[in-house]
Amino acid sequence: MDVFFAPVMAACVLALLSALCVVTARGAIRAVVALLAHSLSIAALYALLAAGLVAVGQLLIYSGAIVVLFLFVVALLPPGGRELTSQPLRLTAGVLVGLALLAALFTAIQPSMGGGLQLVAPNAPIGSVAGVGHQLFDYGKLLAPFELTAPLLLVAIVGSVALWRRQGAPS
Amino acid sequence: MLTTLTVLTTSAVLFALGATGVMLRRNPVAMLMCVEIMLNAGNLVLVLGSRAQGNDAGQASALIVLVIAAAEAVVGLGLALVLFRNREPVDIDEPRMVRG
Repeated sequence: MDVFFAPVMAACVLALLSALCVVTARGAIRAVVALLAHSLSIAALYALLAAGLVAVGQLLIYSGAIVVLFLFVVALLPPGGRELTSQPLRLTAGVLVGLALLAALFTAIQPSMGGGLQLVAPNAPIGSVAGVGHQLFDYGKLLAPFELTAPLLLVAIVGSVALWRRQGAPS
Repeated sequence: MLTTLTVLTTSAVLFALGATGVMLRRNPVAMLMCVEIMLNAGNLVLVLGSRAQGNDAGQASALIVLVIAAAEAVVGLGLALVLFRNREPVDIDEPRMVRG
């Protein structure tokens, strides 16, 4: 038995429960707090899967930046902004499509269930900053996508600021 | 072996759960949170594949996906704020056009 099994199982259960809370929570603040718990449990899973750098990134970017951004937006919302409940037909259709998607996903990972997903190198030294950095910065690997994230972030910031200013300008 | 199976199953269920949430929720901020869950599920498979193959490429890809998730949250929350400014209660199906 893998020594990591019990912690991995606990983190998986926590991630699933908190994701369920995010999907079903009525209040926005509760959903954000559940999202924080989800993000933290995913970070724990990354750490358990020998991905320390990604776990730190998840903590800094997701738990630190994105969840706080969500909290700010929820705090900026007008008070008493209630959410319309879905009609029963829409609810049924959504759940059915979700179940169909789940079935499709399980069909896709079925080959791995029968023992196809073995750890090729259980003790391989992966997850070091140098190793991940070589993947990101070496020419011919992930250098182009990595460099493209810089203009992506710039365009996202400029776009959201432009959207906000145009809408907020006195007319 | 059992560990990888657990993580793989969790990831599939998380993705389906997030997709269901996107279809069911009508609050744009809640929909964005469900999209974040789907992104996390995809990232989890990347990290798991990196662990199973003993290769760092999956972890590097997961970092890039993290940055893309940040950009998506910025744009999505900006749009949600613009929607919330004018209409209450907010329904994602209601607006026909967003100027900007």
